[in-house]
Parts: sequence; C-alpha cells; structure tokens
Amino acid sequence: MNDVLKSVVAAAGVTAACLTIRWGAQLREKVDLGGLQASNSNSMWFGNWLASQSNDVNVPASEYYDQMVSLLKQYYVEPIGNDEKLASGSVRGMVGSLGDVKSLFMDSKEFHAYVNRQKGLYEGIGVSLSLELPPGKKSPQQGLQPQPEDAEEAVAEISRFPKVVVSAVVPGGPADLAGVKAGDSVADIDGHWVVDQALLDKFRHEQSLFNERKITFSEIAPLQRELRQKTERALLPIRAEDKLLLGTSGSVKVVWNRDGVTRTSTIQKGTSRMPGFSDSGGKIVLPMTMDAAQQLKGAIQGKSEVTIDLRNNPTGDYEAMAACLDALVPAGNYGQLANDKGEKPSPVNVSRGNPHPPKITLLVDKTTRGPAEILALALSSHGKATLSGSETGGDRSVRETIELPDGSGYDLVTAVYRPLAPTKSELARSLMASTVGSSTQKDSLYPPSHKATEVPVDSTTASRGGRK
Amino acid sequence: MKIGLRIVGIFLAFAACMAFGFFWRDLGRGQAPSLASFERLAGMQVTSSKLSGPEVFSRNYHRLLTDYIRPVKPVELKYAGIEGMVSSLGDPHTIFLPPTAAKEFSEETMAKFGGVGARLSPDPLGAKVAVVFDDGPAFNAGLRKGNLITGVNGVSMAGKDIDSIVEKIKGQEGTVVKLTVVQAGKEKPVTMTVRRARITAPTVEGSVLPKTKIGYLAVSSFSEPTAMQFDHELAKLEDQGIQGLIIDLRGNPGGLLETATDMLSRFVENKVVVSMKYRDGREEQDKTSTGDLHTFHYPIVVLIDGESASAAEIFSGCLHDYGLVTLVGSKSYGKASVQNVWPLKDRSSAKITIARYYLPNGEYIGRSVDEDGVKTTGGLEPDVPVALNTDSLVVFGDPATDNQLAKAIQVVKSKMQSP
Repeated sequence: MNDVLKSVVAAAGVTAACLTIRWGAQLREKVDLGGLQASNSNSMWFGNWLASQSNDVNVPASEYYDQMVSLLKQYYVEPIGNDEKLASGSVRGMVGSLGDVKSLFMDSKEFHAYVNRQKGLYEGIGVSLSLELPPGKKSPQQGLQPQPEDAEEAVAEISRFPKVVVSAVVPGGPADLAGVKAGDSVADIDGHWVVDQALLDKFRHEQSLFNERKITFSEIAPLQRELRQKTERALLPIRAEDKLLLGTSGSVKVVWNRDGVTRTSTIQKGTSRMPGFSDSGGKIVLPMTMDAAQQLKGAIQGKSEVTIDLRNNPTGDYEAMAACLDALVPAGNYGQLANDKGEKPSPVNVSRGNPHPPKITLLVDKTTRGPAEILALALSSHGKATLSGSETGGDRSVRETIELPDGSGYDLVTAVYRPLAPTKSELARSLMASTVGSSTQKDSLYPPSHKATEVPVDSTTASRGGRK
Repeated sequence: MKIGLRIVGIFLAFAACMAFGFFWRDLGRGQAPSLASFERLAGMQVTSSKLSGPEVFSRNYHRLLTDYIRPVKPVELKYAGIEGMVSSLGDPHTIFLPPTAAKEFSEETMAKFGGVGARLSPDPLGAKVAVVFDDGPAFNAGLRKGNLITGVNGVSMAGKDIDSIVEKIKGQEGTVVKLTVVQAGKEKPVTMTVRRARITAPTVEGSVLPKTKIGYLAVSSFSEPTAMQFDHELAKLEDQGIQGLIIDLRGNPGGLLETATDMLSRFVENKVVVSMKYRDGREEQDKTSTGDLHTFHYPIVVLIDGESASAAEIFSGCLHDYGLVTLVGSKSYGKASVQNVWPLKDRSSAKITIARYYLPNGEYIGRSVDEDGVKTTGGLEPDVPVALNTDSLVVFGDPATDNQLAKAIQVVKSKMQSP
C-alpha cells in the first residue's frame, strides 16, 4: 500500500467518524425534540424556578411545561393521573391562542366526527359548518374555544364572535329534508342563544353613547335586558357546532337565519352520507378523497370532454386534490402556496401530469370549498377548465390535520393557495376567450358563464356579482 | 482472524463516535449523559405512536411555530400552552398568570401600588376624578372629586380608554407625573405635579344612611389592609351612634382568608371559620382569634349577590352559621376552594387550588356548572332573597335606586324594633 492510498483511507475514516458523530447528535435532537428529561425532574429545580433574584426570564417552553406539570402534581387538590389530558389541554390552549376560525382544536368526539366527515360520513343533522368572523376588527383570542368557566363571563370579555354558517348540506340528509341551505346561519339551538356579534356590537355602541351621556338609561335598558336574558343561556360557536354535528339520536330545534329572515325547524339527528365518487350520465362526482382521485384517472381515460361536479365539497384532503390535479393537467406550474411570514411562496407543480387532458367543465357553487375550491381555481385560472354554476365558497386555505394520543386533534392552516399572476398574453387570451376563467378575485371565484347563461341562485349572489 | 478483529474494532470506533454525538448535548452542559434520552430512543423505535405528555406539548409547540401560516410569538405560544394545560383541570380557580396578569393580581391582593391616590371614571375628555384618597399625593397636590384629568405628562387624554389613562398615571413610587386638570370655576386648566407614592386603596367605605341611624359599610375586597380599614370605618360610624348596620359584600370577589378570619374575630372568639380538606385527606381548621372581640349591640344585615365570592362568602356564611347576621340579596357565587400562589421567576405566577373548604355547619357551597357554563348549584342562599331591579339606573348605596339595599334597610329596621 502506498502512502497516498493510506492517507486517502485515513481521511475517509476521519470523515466517516465525523459523520457518525453528527448522526448521533441528530438522533439525539430527534429523540428530545426540544423536550428535556421529563422523567427525572423532581423538586430540585423548584429552587431555581420559583421567583428569585435571578433575572433569567426566558425559560425554554418544554422546561416550563415540565415544571408546571410537577407543580400541579405536587399541590393540586385532586390527584392528577392523566398526563395525556394535560398535554392535550396545552395544545388546545396554543391552538386557541392563534384566534383562527380555520385552525381549530377538537376534543376526541369532535375530532372523530371531523375525520369521518372528510370521508363523507356525517352524523348529527347532516351539514358541514364553517365559522365566519364578521368583517372588521381582527381575530378573537379565545372566543372560539369554550372555556370551562361561565359563558356569561366569556361573552363579556371576548371581543369578536364568529357566526356559525352552513357550508354544505348532505343531499337527502336530515337538514336537507328540513329545507336547510348552504349559507344559512344558526341563531338559536334548543332555546340557547348562539352568541351574535351584531347584537353585542349594537349594545356596546349604545353603552358608549350612554357613557358619553348622549342617550338616557331608559333608552339603553331594553337592549340590556334582552342581552342579559340571552346570555343566561348562551352557546359559544363551537358548542353550537357540537349540537348540530354530533350524535345520531334525538332531535334539535334550530332557528336559522337566511338573509335576515329567521325560520325554525326541528330536525331529527341521524347518519347521512355525502355522495361518493360516481361517474354516470357524463358527469363525474369528485369528492376530495384519495380513493376518489384514484378512480378519477380511470374515469377520464380516453375521453375528450368531461364534466366534473365539485359541489357539496366543503372539506377534503389537500393531497387528494394534488392527485386529481396530476390526473387532469399536463406537467407544469399551477400556482403557489403562500404564507404570511414573509417567506417565499412554494410553487404548486405537476411533474408527471396528463399529456392528453380532456376538455373539462367544472360545476361549482358556494359548497365548493377548501381543496375542491383550490382545484377549481388551479384549473380555471390556468386555462385548463371552464367553470359553471355560481360563486365558490371562498376558502382556499391549506390545512394540516393533527391527531393527538388521546384522540383529540386539530386543524392547522399552513398556507393559502394563490394562482400565479397571469402574464399579459394569458390575460389577453382569457379576455378574448370567454370560456376560460381567469379569476384573480381575492375571496371567491366567479364562473364567467353565470353572467351570461345562469340565473343567480339568490339575491346575495346577484348583488355581489353586480358589484363585480 | 486478524481481519475479523479489525472489523469489530472499526465497528466499535463508529459506535463510540455515535454515542459521543448522541450525548454531546449533555457534555456541553456539563451533565452526566442522559439515560432518559437513550431510553426514549429505544422506546421510540418500539412504540413511536404513543408520545409522552411533554413530547406532545413540545412537538405541537414546534409545529405551530414552524407550520402555521402566520408568524407566532414563541413566548405567547408558550404561555397559551401553559394556560391551556392548567385549564384542562376544569377548575376555574386554578390558573396560570402570565407576567402582566400576575402583576395586576398581586396589586389587587395587596391593595397597594405605586400611584397618586385617586379613583377615576370614564369621561369623553379624559378621566373624571371619582374619589380622592385622604392625604394621598393627589389630595395634597389639590386634586378634588369631580375634577377632570385631560392630560398626563403633557399628552392629551381626550377619547382615551380609562384603563390606559390609569396605566399612564400609575408608576413607581417616588417618580413624578404631571396631570392637566380642569376644575370647575377656573378658566384655564391647571398642571399639577404629583409625586407618586405607595398607595393603599380603601377597600371599606362607610357612611350613615340618610334619615336613618343605620350604618352602611361597603367592603370591596378582602385585601391586606381591609381588616384595619374595617375597624377604622366602623369606629367612625359607631361614634355617630348607629343602631343598625348593613355590610355590603355585593360584587366583592374575596381575597385573603387571613383577612376574613381577622375580621370575623371581631364577631366570634375561638370559633371555626372554615374546615379545609386537602388532597391527602388532611383536614385543617381555621379559627378566629381570642381577645379581638367587639360588641355589636345592634342588628346586622349582610348584602350578597352573585359576585360575592370566596372570602366574602366565608365571611358572610360564617356570620350566618353563628346566627349573628341576616343575609339579604341574591345567591352568592359559590367558590369553596383555597388557592395558593406560586410566583415564578419569569414574573408569571401559578395560582393553584390546594384545598376545598366547608363552612362551620358543614355546608359545601362550591358551584357546579352545566355543559354550557351555566351555574346549577352552589353559593350561599340569602335569608331574604331579593333580586336587583335594573329597570332603572342603579346607584349602589343609594336606597332610592338600589332595591336590594332598600330591602336590607327594611330588615334592619324590623330587627331594631323587636330586639
């Protein structure tokens, strides 16, 4: 063996050793994941954690957590056996602090029902609900999560409450039979007032007028009395959702609000099912599930023209959407996923794709939301499909769904989908060819066809369409 | 053979390198290698799905920081997580207080803070002076009830929120604040320079009800100075020859058990105030002291409502159980637990329920709530129930508009006639 070879072997050995050390360190990183020795923490650290002269205020999060758990275990009036409950509670607190109506924590019952809904299996009255914040001041801090304490206190303290709005109705399900329609909002359930921000705002306004002595007490009194009566039996938005989405027996009496008109219906709970994938009469019904995406490939094979129904599609799986996109369009870029953290958006690319795509018509309306809405936008804004129907739901967020060990879980919005800004020539093309949608509308899609051919479903659509 | 040995040697060398890397974190901190992490490594391979509590917290904490669409402040997320964990116990009185809340809480308990010694109420032009504490810095600088504070340190306060005005006026004792004050009868606003001092807020306010011989003591909380202030105000009333007394505990959220016990020692000697039951079954009784007894030769009514809680309920429940007072008003809040506060080194604190208490007659008044947070049971039942009539504007302490007080006066009067 010559010296050159020897030194090469030695160098390789040293490099390998270094890599191994690094590997070990990374493994440790993975194991700990920021968590520190939970098992061997004991009263030792109390001394340096409790208030002292030390000004070191930045205790790492996981250390903080461990220490608070130990404090509770040592002193709380009841023995604490269940670590899982504490952990899920902490996640509930953190998710709640985001104040985001789309990133919600769900307890195990709620989460179980949510996962089922994504597969098309519904309980309760057979609707999908969304929480919608009234326009104006941003995000409530805790208005979303029910606290164990008084609803009354919560009502007094929290600034904004979202409305509970029906985002889709299961065709043939209990709510459908009772005449409930997407867009209806919930005003009252079984005599419990679903907290209404508009009424709170009105009261606060009158209160400030009263404080400035612009109106008298007798003018403010009726509203104050009404509000007091209502808050005695108030339902926070998430609780209201539970009453409508969970359970398969019993009935609920619901007061609905549609365009300012209220109507009451008593609805028997039960199980219902959103239409699954189907391909008949030249129309493909496409829910955003993985197996539907698989079946889509077979269904469009050899066809030159397809109509895909994306209605009744309030929720679904982003990965399934990506698989559908892959089946429907040739390779290329179809927009981007952006966040609000000043990071560079990541492109939505189709790498394999379908080199011979059929001519696509998409049926959409306000029940087209989430992944289905992203699919509709990705296709139409890149000139790959024609939209037909009415305005989409206006939710293009991409979410992660996370399950915790005790069966609870949460949704986390990670990005929002944006079509690429169309280039000049694309824009010109889309303007000329009225069959191509090029919507760059911020919140919802307006199918170009409905202007010419379709009669708007209701007056709201008409007025919004008109403003456009 | 020799090659075999060499392979084993190389293998061992790599294993040592990896172990070195794995435990590098510990060595860097000067700790012994963490066996717990090593065990977790072994455990992780077997049951990777079942995470421990701290791991669940830690993973989701990091996930929210990195994956959420908007920026998240790590410190706020940490505190929100701890608050959530603590509230998962379902006990509304076991709470985590982040630094700002912890500061307010300790000021409330002590009823002491750095300020000028005045209570303010909202006004479109700034803040209206509702009360000036006797002999406080504001009083000495010439501030009087009814004055308007329109500016603080030269900045106009018109249209500002009352809490933010108070926040600007408060500050470390010894420092100076300049107030722009509008006084009735003076053309120009005056500027008062006030040196902030340690303020003890009055928690007891006494008066003799007009056209009666009934004393009225409104106790707003059970803070450190409350017992002393109670004695002081009571003595003032007795000097005026009262023949009946109304103690108003409405809206009193409670405070320190020691203070309540201290005040009860004026009424009963060496008697049980409450029995506290701890987690380990240990029972502890809190008793009134001897030698502080005061003779009340007139009837007493205690006013309570849904916001009278904790020490206020102990005080009124105890007097009631010993047959010394009549309770008038509406059902009290129902808080029958004792908390201890642990100040933490990042200036936050943890308030944890450590015991439940029972009144002298053995009653447990802790509230329970239904799934909608509506109270179902708990609280002290008044002897003479009367709901507050809010159809017209209520001024607490004014029998003309405060129907609960009017009822209390009626009850005291009937007892005065038939001793």
